[in-house]
Amino acid sequence: MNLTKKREFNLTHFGYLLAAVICVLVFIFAPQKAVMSRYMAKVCNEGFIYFVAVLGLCVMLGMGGQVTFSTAGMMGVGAYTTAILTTRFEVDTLPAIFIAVVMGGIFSFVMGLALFRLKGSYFSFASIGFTTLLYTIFSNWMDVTGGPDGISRIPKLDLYFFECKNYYDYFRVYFIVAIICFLIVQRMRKTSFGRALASVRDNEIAARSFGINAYMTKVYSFTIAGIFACLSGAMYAVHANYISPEPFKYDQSAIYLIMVMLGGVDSTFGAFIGSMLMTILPEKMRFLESYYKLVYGVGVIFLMVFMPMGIMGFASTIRNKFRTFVKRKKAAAAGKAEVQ
Amino acid sequence: MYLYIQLALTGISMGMLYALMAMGLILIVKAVGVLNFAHGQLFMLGSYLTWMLTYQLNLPLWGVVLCGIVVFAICGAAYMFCVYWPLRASSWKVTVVISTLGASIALEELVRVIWGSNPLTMKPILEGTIRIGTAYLSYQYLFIFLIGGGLMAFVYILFEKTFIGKIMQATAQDRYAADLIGIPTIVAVVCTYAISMCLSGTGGWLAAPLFLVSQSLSSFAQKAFAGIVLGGFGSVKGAIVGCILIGLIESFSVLVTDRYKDAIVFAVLIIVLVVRPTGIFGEKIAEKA
Amino acid sequence: MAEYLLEVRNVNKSFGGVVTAENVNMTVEAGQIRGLIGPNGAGKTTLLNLISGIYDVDSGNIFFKGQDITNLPSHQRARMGIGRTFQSPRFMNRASIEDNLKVGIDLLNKHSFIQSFFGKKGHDFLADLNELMEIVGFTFDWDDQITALPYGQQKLLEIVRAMLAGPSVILVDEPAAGLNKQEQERASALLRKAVDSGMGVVLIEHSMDMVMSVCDRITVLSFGRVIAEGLPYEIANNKQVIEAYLGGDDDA
Repeated sequence: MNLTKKREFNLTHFGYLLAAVICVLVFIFAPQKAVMSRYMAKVCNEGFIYFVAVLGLCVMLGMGGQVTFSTAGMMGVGAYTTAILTTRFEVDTLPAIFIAVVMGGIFSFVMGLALFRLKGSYFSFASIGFTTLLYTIFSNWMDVTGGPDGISRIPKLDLYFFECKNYYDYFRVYFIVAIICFLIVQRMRKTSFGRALASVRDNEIAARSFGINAYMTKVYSFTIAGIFACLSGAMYAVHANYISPEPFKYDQSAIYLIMVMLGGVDSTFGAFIGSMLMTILPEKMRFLESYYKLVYGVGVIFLMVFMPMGIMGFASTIRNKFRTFVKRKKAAAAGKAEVQ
Repeated sequence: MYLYIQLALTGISMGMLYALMAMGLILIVKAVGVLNFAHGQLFMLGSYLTWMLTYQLNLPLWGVVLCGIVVFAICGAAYMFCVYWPLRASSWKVTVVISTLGASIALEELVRVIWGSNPLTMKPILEGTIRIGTAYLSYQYLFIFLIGGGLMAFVYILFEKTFIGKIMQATAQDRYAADLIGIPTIVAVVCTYAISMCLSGTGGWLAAPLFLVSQSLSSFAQKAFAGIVLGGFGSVKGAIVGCILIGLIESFSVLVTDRYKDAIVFAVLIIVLVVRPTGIFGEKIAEKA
Repeated sequence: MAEYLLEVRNVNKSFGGVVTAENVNMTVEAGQIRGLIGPNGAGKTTLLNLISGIYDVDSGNIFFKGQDITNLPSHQRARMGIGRTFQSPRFMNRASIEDNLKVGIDLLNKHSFIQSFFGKKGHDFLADLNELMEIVGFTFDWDDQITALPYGQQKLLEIVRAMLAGPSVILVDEPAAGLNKQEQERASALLRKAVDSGMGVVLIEHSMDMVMSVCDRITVLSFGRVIAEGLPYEIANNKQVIEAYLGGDDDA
């Protein structure tokens, strides 16, 4: 009965240390011609971009339990704002991204206020409508978005002290951005907000009886997801230097959902695994040709049947089983000692 | 004036198509409590299957109708066994939702692998148009109106008014009730999915002559979702009315703009939600505490 | 009427045609355990839900610390100091015990998201928690899933969580149901501890042993109406109560 704070150095801390070392090594050695081809660097960058968007879903779906299809739409908002600011108004890329993210945050907050008047499945339906609405605007408002042709000649990312000239440069920058976003979400899990979201997810009424404003908590989570998606969209725009409405369609939102489910909704690292796998696998599975998507769709169903909590969820189930096993062993040993 | 009549008729017919899908969706939601995000793909599958029956097996119209019902029912049941049944015990409903998303991707590709990605043409049930004053309307719209309306009325009465329908709903929802009545849950769930597929499939068949048989038919489901939200929480009646309204808004928006048809539909949806979050027919449902 | 911590005045509530509360009056003072008993379906849980704001009243008023809270949403009532537990424990089933308990602490701390994000120090709850865990008589691992605990311990832990949030009144819904004798005693001890530290308690319970031993005053509900109110021994000897409740129920 002497519960104490968890301070001592344990296996988890060792894991963090190891992860930090790996990150530094990857940052230093990976973005080089000898290690990966230019094409591979590009694919990895896209993986990082998707990862940032998927983090938003990690907050919405994993922590808050809300199925949303708004990710692609919000990415579009970020991408188009950045593209328009840099091409039309000749704003530098960094402030343009900043403005895009701020605007996206405000926009998604307002939309969240409207959409969360609906609950559960009906919210999901409405979020589909939201994304379709945005897509229609992107592909039809010729004067501003360029319609189906999109916007080209978006300048490369310039951080003032570091200019991204090729995919390796982007790799370095995006890798750091991904790590920062990862840490933010990881931290969020252990804040009052993270717990509030989790309790809204698992039991809204109980959450309210603990002073949690369920509606506003959901709206905030939608805003955070919107900010991540906008950032991701902006990163996409300056990376590809060209945007068209296609990647911001409703179908793409479904893919982000699958990414987060593949990795494991309860784990931030799972989101990373999910988005990297889903970006790199298609490149490695070219031999399947036209059957690829079929295999992939069926694979998703199998995933849900056998690993509903994704890869990381599967891993943590095994870990928990192991823990209880060890505990039982210990208890049994203690029991024996007493008898003797 | 005649233009308005024409727009109203096409709008209602389009609404009927959405409503056919929405009805199937709601039946599934009521029975097993989860959304089916592959419903648009089932709609599309319906149009491909009827195309196959008509042009590859060369069946006459009555043959298409009879075989169609059987094939749809089988497809619905098969779909249920692949996508819902393995996950029925899952404690987290989101897994089922994601599995239907996977199914939607798989179905779309399956269709593409079998029938190719080029749109196929299908002849309408009866060719030609009728004249309303100065406006023309093809017969197919009337068929949509009649067949769709009839089918929906039939299913509505079956589920809401007859004893069998009520038993079916009860058993699908509650294993305990199922044991009491003696109908296995599986039968009720299979029937629900089969009927749901029949509704969507028929919708696909009716839509095919107007919009070509192609994979893009699956995007119709988004309008059905919108109709359900507009109509209100989980009521079949609300969903039908909501869908018809969506159809009307869509068809009349042509007067204002051509390009922003979809944008107007969804903008109206979001405005309605802000003003009346429970939808037009929704009532405030007391939460279970 | 500021002497009462919580006062329910002439509250009515019906669902469709079913009346679950009809002119209900009830008061709770600080340091008092108010028992709320009645046959199944008498509207006890509904009354708790009305007090904590999960349902809106049809008419009547609810006062808390002299303030009319009838129209406040439930999360604001919780922030003012009305804690509660549920008939079957409601935890975050996918979260660790630590996170589940900290939801209670969050209510006490009232930190904004930003403050919490940058790790603002809150109340040191460990001493309190250890004291309460001493009473309930078991221990746990911070990182264990909440579902790993046995049912009885979950129920006790839910009361602990409600108490950690430092409310002025806690509404406790059937704490003893499904608990063994020893655990029931521990639940009683927890409630006494709550009262000692100045909280008011509303207790719904079917176990007569527990009700009679811990309650200071008892309100008896039947079909949404208050049919008796008074000290435990008065209630035990009340004819009307025996007829309506004790006579018709196996629990007696």
